[in-house]
Amino acid sequence: MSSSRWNLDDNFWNEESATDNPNGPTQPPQHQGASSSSNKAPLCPNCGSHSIESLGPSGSAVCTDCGIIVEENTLVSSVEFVEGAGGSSSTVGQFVGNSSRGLNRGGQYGFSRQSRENTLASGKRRIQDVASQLRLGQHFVDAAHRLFTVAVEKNFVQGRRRAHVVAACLYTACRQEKSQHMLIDFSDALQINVYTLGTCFLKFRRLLGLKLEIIDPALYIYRFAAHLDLDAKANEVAMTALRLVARMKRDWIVAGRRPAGICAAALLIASRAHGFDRQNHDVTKILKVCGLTVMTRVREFEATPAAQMTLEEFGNTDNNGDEHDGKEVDPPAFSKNRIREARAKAIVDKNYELLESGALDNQNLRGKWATRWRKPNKQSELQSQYAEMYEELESEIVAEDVNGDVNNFAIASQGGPAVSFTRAATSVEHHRPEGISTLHSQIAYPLGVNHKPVILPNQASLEELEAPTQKAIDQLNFEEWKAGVPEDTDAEVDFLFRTDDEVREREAVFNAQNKEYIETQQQKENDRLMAEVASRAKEEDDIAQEEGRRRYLKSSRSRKRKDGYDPNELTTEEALLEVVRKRKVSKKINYDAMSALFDDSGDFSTELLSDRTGKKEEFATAEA
Amino acid sequence: MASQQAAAADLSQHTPSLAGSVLECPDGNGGSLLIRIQNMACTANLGVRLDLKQIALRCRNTEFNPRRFAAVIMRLREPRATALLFASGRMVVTGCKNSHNCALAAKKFSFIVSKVGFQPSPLIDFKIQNVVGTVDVGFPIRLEGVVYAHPTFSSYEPELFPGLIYRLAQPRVVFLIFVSGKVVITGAKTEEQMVEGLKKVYPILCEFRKSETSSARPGDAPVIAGGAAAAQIAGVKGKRGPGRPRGSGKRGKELKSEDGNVVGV
Repeated sequence: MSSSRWNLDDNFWNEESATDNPNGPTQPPQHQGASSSSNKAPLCPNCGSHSIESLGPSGSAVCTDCGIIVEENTLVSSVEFVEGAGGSSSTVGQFVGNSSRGLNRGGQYGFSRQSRENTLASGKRRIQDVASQLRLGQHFVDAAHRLFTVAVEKNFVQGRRRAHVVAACLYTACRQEKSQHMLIDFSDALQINVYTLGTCFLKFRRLLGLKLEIIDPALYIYRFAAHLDLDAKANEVAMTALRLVARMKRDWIVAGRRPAGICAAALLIASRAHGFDRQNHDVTKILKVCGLTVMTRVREFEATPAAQMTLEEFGNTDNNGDEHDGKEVDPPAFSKNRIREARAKAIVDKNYELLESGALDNQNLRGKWATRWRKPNKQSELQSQYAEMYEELESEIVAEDVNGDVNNFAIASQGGPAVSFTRAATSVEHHRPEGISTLHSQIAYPLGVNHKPVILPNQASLEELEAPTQKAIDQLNFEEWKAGVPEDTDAEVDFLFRTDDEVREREAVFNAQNKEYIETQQQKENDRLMAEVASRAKEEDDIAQEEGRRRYLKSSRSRKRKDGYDPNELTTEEALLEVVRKRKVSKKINYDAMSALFDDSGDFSTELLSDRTGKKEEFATAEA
Repeated sequence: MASQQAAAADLSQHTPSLAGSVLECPDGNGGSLLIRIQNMACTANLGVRLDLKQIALRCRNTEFNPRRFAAVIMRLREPRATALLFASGRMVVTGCKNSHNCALAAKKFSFIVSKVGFQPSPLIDFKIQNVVGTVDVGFPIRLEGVVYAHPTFSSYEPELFPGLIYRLAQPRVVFLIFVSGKVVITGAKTEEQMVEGLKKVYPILCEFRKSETSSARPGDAPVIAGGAAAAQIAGVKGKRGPGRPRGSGKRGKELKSEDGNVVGV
């Protein structure tokens, strides 16, 4: 019936009109401006035509044949209220937000939202909270919220603390806008470890593939200069500090260093240069860096030529120009490594002259610290007298030889650098010298950062350079190896074992220390055993059931075969079995009892089990 | 004769060696760089459930704190290695500097476990999971240049970590590149991956090297830029040596207003 085309939400007169004219075409309803919402089959309610055109922006649909407006005002932007039965009022329609995806059906209240929108809204709230703590403007909040939306869409928020994500978003926004905020400020405001936040931020940045500028320490200068109580001269100091930062950048002090430390050092130097008595802790407090870090930065700057200038000179030179020798200094870490290696080399070569000359002193340090690597020999009066005597003797005796040695060295050092970085000197034997003792000082072999003797970059023994013998993925033949264990290894391993007495003592201590743990472990073990027993019982049960079924089937089938029935035809018995198997009625079926239900032909038996056996016995006796 | 050779080979199976702890990587200029392996982590499956308490009580070289971590920490002197033994019979061996020692340590740990009274399977599954190595390219590197040129692979956040993290896609190896020219290579599963990765990254590093370095290479007398340092090098004793002249303020107002106080010694 064509009336079925009408939507059910249309009024009942549709039904009426349909019943009025059951045979004819659908009577157009005499209802002007009927807002039929039949979207599936656009049919003109007036003329029955299918040519209905929807006018996109205005949200109305018009029949092109008769001109009737079929639909209008599908979306409204005005808010209307209706009054309910109890006098309560509610909004008409639903709120469709900017970010929501379509209508939320079934919401009882006008403003029910999807969970994603909830997340976004709460995220925005958190962002606003944090931003107000850090005095960040609305601009940052908006930018951060956009980032947060992306984070939600990419499922970045899942499995992460909301505070971390919010901080990452806000910090990213700050970095994009080059604001004066550091990550540590966020860490301070949220009371979260800065490296935890940093990890989250890095992951977020990788996810978004954002290209952010590297932080420039100069950004922070103005912010923190204001905190130093410099009054009218604050601007001047800040300008000097900015120039200092620029100079440090050229001298490779900035690279690989935390911006806050650079900024602190620059501010400290600048404020002192302008005659303010600022202490180390004044800057470390406001910039949240360690005092030692600032000291190290200052020392590093001290070692550059720029540090030798007066304030006036420094102010007048053009940082970018090449006015004062224009050379960039090497990174402090780089030159430190080179000096250390040179020391090591000199010790290996027994180049006393170089070691004593002071050329290998630490350039970043002054005074006794610079020469600490060659400790002066502690000698009594007598010892030093003897030493002098010996020295004189020695110089007399080996004067010619020494000359020869010096010449040899000169030749060696002329032939290019003794140690090159790009060519492996494979023959250098890798031994770790003890260091040497000269007349005036004890020189220890330099240690690397890991407190182990320095290994020159090109130093390797032939054994080390051999190709690796073990495959990365392998099956180790333990049995064979074990058979060939040499005696000393065996003894060495045996030495690792405690005696029984010791074991008993240890066990007592261990049990006392880990009482709770052992208890819980015991509990777990018990639970496991119980579960095992239960599962084994269940398994056995299953097997028994299966056994019973098989036995039953066998007997029933043999019965059936005996009777010569059509095998395709299901008997009641077989049908029941099928049901039992398929529906899994119960796992505990007493097949023996079931066999009593049926007679030999597979139909329900009318006799009781006892009767039948009695009858069978009777039959047997009769036959006999 | 043959048996003697076999015995010798056998003995090498039982002694630690240094073989393979330094890798040679051609730098494309005829020279080569040396990658020094610093650590290796490998896993091994003993194929038998272990009673950790027994192992912890019997052996002196163990640590076991079940409340904190559910594994026995066992240490070895020869080769120097540390193993984590789990109740499932799996083992993580770390601290070796080449694969030979790694495998040897795994076998020795299994031997100790077998002496406690467990029967490790005759064939132990062994797999190297991570190789960490260092290399010194010998010139300062402009990290900023690298991060601008390869933003998709690299991340440089001096606020969090002083080095540049360069994640190579093929082979999947991570480089930590520092300004001083030292590079840490990690995440490699094999030694070859490490060499292969460095072959790809070294040209990038060369591209962004500091153009002129004035610091000396070892062997030469170090030449350090700047007047002060140059004076040092010249070997003028006393002037720049210990006890730097205090009253150097004759050039007017020095940048450091009062010498000693700047650093607050």
